[in-house]
Amino acid sequence: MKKKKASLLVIVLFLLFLFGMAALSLFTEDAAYIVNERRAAEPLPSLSFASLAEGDYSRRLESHLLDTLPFRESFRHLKNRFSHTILHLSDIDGLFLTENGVAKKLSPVDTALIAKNAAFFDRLITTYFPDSAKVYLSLIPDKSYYARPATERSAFDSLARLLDESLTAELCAIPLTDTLSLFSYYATDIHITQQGWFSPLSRLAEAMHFPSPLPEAFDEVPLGAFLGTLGAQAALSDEKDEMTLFYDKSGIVASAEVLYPDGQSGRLYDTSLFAKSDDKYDVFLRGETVGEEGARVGNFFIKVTNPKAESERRLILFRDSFARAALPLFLAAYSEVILVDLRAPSLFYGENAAALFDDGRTDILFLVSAHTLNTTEFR
Amino acid sequence: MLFSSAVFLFVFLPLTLLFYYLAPRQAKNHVLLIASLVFYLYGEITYTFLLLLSALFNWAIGLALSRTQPQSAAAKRLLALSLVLNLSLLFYYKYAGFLVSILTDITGVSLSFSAPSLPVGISFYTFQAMSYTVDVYRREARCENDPLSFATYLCLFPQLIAGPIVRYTDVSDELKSRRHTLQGFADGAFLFVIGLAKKVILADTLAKLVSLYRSQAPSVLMAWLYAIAFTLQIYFDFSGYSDMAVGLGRLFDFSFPQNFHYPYTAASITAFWRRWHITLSSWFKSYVYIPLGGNRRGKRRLIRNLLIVWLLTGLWHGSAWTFLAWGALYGLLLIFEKFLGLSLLERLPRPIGHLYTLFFVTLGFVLFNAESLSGAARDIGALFGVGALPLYDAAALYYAKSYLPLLLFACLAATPFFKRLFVRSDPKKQRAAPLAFAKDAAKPFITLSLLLLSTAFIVGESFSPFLYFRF
Repeated sequence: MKKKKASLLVIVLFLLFLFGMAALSLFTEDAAYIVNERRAAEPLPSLSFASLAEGDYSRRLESHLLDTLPFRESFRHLKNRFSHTILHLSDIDGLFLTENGVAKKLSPVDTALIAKNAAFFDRLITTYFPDSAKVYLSLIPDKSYYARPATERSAFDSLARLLDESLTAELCAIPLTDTLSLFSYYATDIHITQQGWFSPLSRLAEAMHFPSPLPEAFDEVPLGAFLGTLGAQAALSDEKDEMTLFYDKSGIVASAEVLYPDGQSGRLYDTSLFAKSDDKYDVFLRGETVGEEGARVGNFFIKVTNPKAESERRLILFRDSFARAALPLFLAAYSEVILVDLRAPSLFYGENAAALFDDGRTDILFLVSAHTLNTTEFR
Repeated sequence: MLFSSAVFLFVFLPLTLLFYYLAPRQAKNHVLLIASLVFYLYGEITYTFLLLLSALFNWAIGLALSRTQPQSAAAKRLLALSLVLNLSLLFYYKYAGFLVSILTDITGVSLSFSAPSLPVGISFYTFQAMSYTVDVYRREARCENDPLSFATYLCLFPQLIAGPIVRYTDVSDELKSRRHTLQGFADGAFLFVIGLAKKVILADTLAKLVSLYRSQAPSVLMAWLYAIAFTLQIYFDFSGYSDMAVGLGRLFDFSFPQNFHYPYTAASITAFWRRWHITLSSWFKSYVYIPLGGNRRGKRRLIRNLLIVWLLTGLWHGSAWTFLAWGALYGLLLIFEKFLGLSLLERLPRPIGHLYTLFFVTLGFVLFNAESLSGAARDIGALFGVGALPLYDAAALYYAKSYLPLLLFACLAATPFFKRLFVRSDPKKQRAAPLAFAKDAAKPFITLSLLLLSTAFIVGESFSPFLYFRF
């Protein structure tokens, strides 16, 4: 190619790209929501002297342009794949590929936050269950624990040790790390599959004295393929997961009644959300929020009644999202389960706090993932 | 406004190019001046008046100087006024807080002085303004009669906030008339894209490894990873920005001086500073070192001059003891090389010179990036295992493995390796470069690929999953 032709082509490509992107940004409709990041896009800020002087306008305009840039997701894919395949970076935004899909780093451990959360557990126990002898705690390791034993295992171990050292209330810790593996988790999602829950539930059953759930007592109903949240974030492979729901042959899962915080009742699985929700994991107990559009509330307090229960045992389950897929598998052991999201605000106030009591037939279980414990301050 | 921001790439630059090339020849400088003020105003609305005031003041001084007799008492007074006011401005915004903290430390008396925020680019445009008035005083530059033309020079957005330090004499002819060639525009676009890629793909990715250092358990390996990553990051960050500035200048047919020339291939500290931030070194040489007497008045004066220049160079980078120590380190190394080192290095195999240079440059940047002198001592100590640090741990090994390909690629990219695939190193050599036949054809491909990739990296940095995403 002649130098002049090459120069002309450089100019054409350069200008075409800049002006093309500018024109597309200007003339295409701005996205209001970024699905893969589950957040609203930054709206176009309004200009004022104060916002410009404080730098707020320039920050928000930059965010707006980047959030609404045409082909945003394609650019993100390009960046992540280039970083992974050409630069050979193992971690991209804390995400990395494993033998079973994508995992997210747990480290570094936030020691101050763990201490605060331990104090929160103490406060819950001393406020609501001061005399209860059946308070259990199980920490769920992240997938990274199995994918990156060299670094992530020590992070989890130090987190667990720190929690143990910080807690003053009497409770029974039930270790789960040896009951799970890399393949207990979805390939593209942070959560444990229902199939993966049987082994850790056996451990819980043994410690809490309820019958161990067995896979052969359940029928598997496939719902379809999906891309989990980690897979969507990482944008590193085209791998997808299969969503399969477990229904027990005695009909407990099908007949259990669930009372959600929006006052609506329903079932343990809401399969309509598999099509409607961005997070397919929302099929388990309807996800993080419930209610009609415009009036959605946090799905923080859920009451599950098991009409086929053979005993009158109650369970108060302090949880994060992991427990939602696990509950249908061991519900047979309880007549009533109160699920309390540890991320709920003001657990010590309001009418829901009235459900937090031990009448002598109640088990109290804290079932929380290391990731939640390390990144969310419970209040 | 940063060159690597979406606002600059997809709003400011297209609009500026459009208005500039649509404007008639006599209005092009005015378009550039307006664009430059918008560029500055967008990030520094409160200090825009300061920039304009500096332009007006130095233009007026230049005009007054041109009406005095060379070297006359009146000319000297005007020059002194210019230097005092320019340096006072710089001192107030950049160093007053530092001086007050020193006085507080010494006297124990707490002085109620709240340091103002630093106006973006003040070190660059003040140095440019001073070079103009000194050059007019010396009659090395013609005075600019048109205040708008002078303001265009001082405020020109490609070099306004991070250099290179362009002297008025570098661009005085171009301010009057520019030819706007196809080749010039293409070269500018290509250089801009190379600089953009250096900044957003290499520097910003290396920055992630740098930022890991403080959150990890210390080990010798982690300390070296940090030191090497920061040494590479600062090069790609600064030289990338300089390339973008020079490239942008070319888009408007200005030829700004080159600011970096593969500094990490230098085999001595002397050679390193001929290749690193060239316009700053050359500014200090012209306006401080030579006026002090340079190397012409004996060894003692040479040592004094070198120390003054390098302490000032350190201080120019920031008002902290670490910068002063960094400047002093280079002052001492250059004194060593002047009297002994260079002749010694010439007798030794060249790789030893490279290793010696890279070792001290890396050490210097650890000092440069430390939050305090004690922090610098800790970080430099960590490189040698001081405090019984372990050689490595699992995390350090993991990050070394993860970032090794990037570090190797960045090391290669800091040398002329890629350039020499297309262009032979010595024009006198007969043998052509391996890919010389594709030199021209590769440019459009490289331009588009790097534009796409750089945009991908800029977009990727905006990735911010909602907290609840993980549940």
